Amino acid sequence: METEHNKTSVFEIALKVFSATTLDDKCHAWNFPFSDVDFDAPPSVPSPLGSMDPGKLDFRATESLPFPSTKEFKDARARAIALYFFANHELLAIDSMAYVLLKFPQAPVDFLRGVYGTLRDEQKHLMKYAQRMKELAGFDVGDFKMNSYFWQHLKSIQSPKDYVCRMSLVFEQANLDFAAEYAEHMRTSGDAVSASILDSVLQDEISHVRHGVQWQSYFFDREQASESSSQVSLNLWEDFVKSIPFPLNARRARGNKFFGEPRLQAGLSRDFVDRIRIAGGSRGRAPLAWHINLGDERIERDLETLPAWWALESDQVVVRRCPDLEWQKSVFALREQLPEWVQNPGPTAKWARWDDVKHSEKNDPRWGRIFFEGLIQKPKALVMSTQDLMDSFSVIRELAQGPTEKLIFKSNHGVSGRGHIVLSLAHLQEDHWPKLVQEKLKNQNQWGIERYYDRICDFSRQIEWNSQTQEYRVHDPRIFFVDGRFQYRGTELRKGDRQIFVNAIEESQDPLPRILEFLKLNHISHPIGLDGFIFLDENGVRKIRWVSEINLRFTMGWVALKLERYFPGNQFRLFSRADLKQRGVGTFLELENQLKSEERFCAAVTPTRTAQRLWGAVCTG
Amino acid sequence: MSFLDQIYSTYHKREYLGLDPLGILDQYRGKPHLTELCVLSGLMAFGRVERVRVATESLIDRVGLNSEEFFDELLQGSPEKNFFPKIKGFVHRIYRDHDIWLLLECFRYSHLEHGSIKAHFEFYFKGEDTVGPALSAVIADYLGVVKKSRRKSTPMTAHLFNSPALGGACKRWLMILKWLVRPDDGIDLGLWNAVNEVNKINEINKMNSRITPAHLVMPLDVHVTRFAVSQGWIKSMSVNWKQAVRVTESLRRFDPLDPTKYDFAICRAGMLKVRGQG
Ligand SMILES: [Fe+2]
Ligand SMILES: [Fe+2]
Repeated sequence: METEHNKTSVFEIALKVFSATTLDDKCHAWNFPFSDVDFDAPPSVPSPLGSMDPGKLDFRATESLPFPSTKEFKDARARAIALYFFANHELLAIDSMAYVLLKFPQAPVDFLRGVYGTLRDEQKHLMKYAQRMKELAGFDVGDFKMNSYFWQHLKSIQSPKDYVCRMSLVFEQANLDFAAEYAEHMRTSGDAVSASILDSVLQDEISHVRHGVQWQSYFFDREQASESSSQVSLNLWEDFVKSIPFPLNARRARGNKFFGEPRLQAGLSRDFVDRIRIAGGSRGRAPLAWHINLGDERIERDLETLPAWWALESDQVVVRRCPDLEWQKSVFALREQLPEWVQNPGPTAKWARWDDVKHSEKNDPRWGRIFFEGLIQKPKALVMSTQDLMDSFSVIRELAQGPTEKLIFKSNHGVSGRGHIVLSLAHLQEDHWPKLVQEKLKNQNQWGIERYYDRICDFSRQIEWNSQTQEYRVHDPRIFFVDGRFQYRGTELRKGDRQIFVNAIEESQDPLPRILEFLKLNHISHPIGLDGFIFLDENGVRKIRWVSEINLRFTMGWVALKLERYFPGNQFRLFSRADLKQRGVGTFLELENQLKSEERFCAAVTPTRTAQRLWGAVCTG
Repeated sequence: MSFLDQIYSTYHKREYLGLDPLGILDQYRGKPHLTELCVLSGLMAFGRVERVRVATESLIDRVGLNSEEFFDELLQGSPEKNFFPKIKGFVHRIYRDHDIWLLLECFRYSHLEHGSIKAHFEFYFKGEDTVGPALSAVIADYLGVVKKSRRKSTPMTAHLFNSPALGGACKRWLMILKWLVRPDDGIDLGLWNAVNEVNKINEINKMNSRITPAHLVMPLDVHVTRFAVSQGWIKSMSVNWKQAVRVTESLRRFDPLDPTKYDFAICRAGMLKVRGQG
């Protein structure tokens, strides 16, 4: 009983450390061995705790330092500055841990013991860094301004699990990379002393992360078991992601370089380590949020992961479901970065919505001019019923008087081109019209009617604004494919064969220069796709229609251009479930395997493992 | 005076009747069963007026539509035995004898159930903005008659019965209604509204919600459609019910009580212009 009375309450220690304003009080005066600490003492928590900030050590400092480049590490002062930053982090860790002890006194005693043990390690680290930077450059802790980076993310924690996810599994996990990386830099700069400090920090940090891994799993299991829990996470990874709200993200659990081994030593699963290795997320700036909007919910759902091919690591992609790990790894292997997948974008996210420009096209009268001035020849389509067609011979004949003298009648109910009928001007005689309608166009409520061109190929040209050069970049034409219903189905990932263009006559002059002039005049900086085609006219002459459609938004042609970087010379193809059936396979995974078994190149542009997909995209040879 | 009214005053004249299927009916002004004559010749009106005239006149003769006894025969116990031999073998464009008989059965239905085609339309007209809903309802009744008939319909029977409910522009039915509902101004027939003054008609009929010229919808033929596109009232040459309503709404800005009065003049202007160029 005697010894019991000599023990000091862990909560008293935490409070003293938390409010300390000298290095001695932070690290030394209240650093007690376990045997002297009472973990069962009644909590003595000042209120309100939530609004309290930790005691500051840098109140004398006026100057803040930039983090040095490792190229300057030959200079002892530069190394000392780096250590000053690390010391800063240790200090924040100490304050955070003291705070957790104060905030969750009812947590399991073993958890409290673990946090206290970690806190003592951090005190030790801070002392080591302090001593070493004094040796190197004469710095004291508090000489320069310090940041409160972790603290800002930690003071909102609501549970011990929040703490382990944010502190142990984000900041301390990232520190595994930083410690390993900077130990190496110190060594190559000839500073074996600093290197060995970082080596020992790394070893301690592994045990800190292990503490986090164990307690996340403990609290997760308890939540799963409790029936009151309505928001059940499926696994530890999802639970982790949920516990680190914006602006934190899984990317922040990684340093500049990635080290897998210390993570495995800390007890993280291989799956978890893989996910951290490829995770995207912003490290500070407001993220750009991508969201594909194709106007058809079912296609959108299946193609929502496309931005994985161009979004930056700091971007967000808004998805209904996260793509599977295997697919993410395959994209990462090519791109060396992936965006962050989110169901709800962060509050400060800037939007790069797929349909942004499409909306402005409708609302912005400037776009009307581009058509009005005759730069674009949009195909005129009529929508009419069979019965009205019968009464409208003159209207139809007028439409047919074009360069190919042909019309295509597209049925509303036709599946992939079936039910499409091409009629030429020669067929269109007033006397025979009702009979022709009766025979060829019966039983349809609605027909879409357009001029028909004997297309040799369709091509698109992408225009991108380069903000650095203040110029538009016009990419060479790329050949694309459409299905029987003229829906986009794929693009050749290479420049269109020059010969195709040389051997054709321009129907009229390429309006490109005037379009560019127009774009520049109106300060238009979003991507633009110009579609055109080469066709045979009524005399069998090859002609080029340079621009049949202008898309003032992101298009599949633009996506194809992004994919070309990774799969040059191949084809980007969209496959529907009906296409799969036609090829005798049941799933997109089977399609991928089939293409590969034909010794054709095949890369899954969208995830193939998800069942119940109607659409999928691949690049294939 | 608006451009439209200039066209109206230039071309809304009897001297241009010869170019129109309406010209065929001119000779029957004041004769019995003019409503049925309108429906019949309106529905026959495909292509060149001369051919339509020949076919229509021959059909009128065959069934005796201009005789006083026509309905006595049609409304009796089993008129098919009596009528079908008269039209057997008739062909005009897509129409066969079966189609014509089915149309006569529809006339019979309107008379037996409602007393007349006019009463049939008015039965369904509830004072809506346009005659569209009433037309859809009458057509639905007629399709019911066709279904029940002992004579089989042909694939082309459906073309007699285009309906706004299916999104159809119903050019021929709207044309027929225009002939019947618009007052007798030497062009249209004013058969369903005996008073020869549009404003008066509208005033009277507001009270008992009869179909008036204000309720008519423009029949879209190529000239009208092209004119509407040129005026920016519609964006494409598509011919369907929505387009017809859009064009009518634009015309109401010029004459809210009688928007279709411009139909005849726009068609004549369009036709003559085309011929002038050709
Ligand atoms: Fe540490
Ligand atoms: Fe640590």
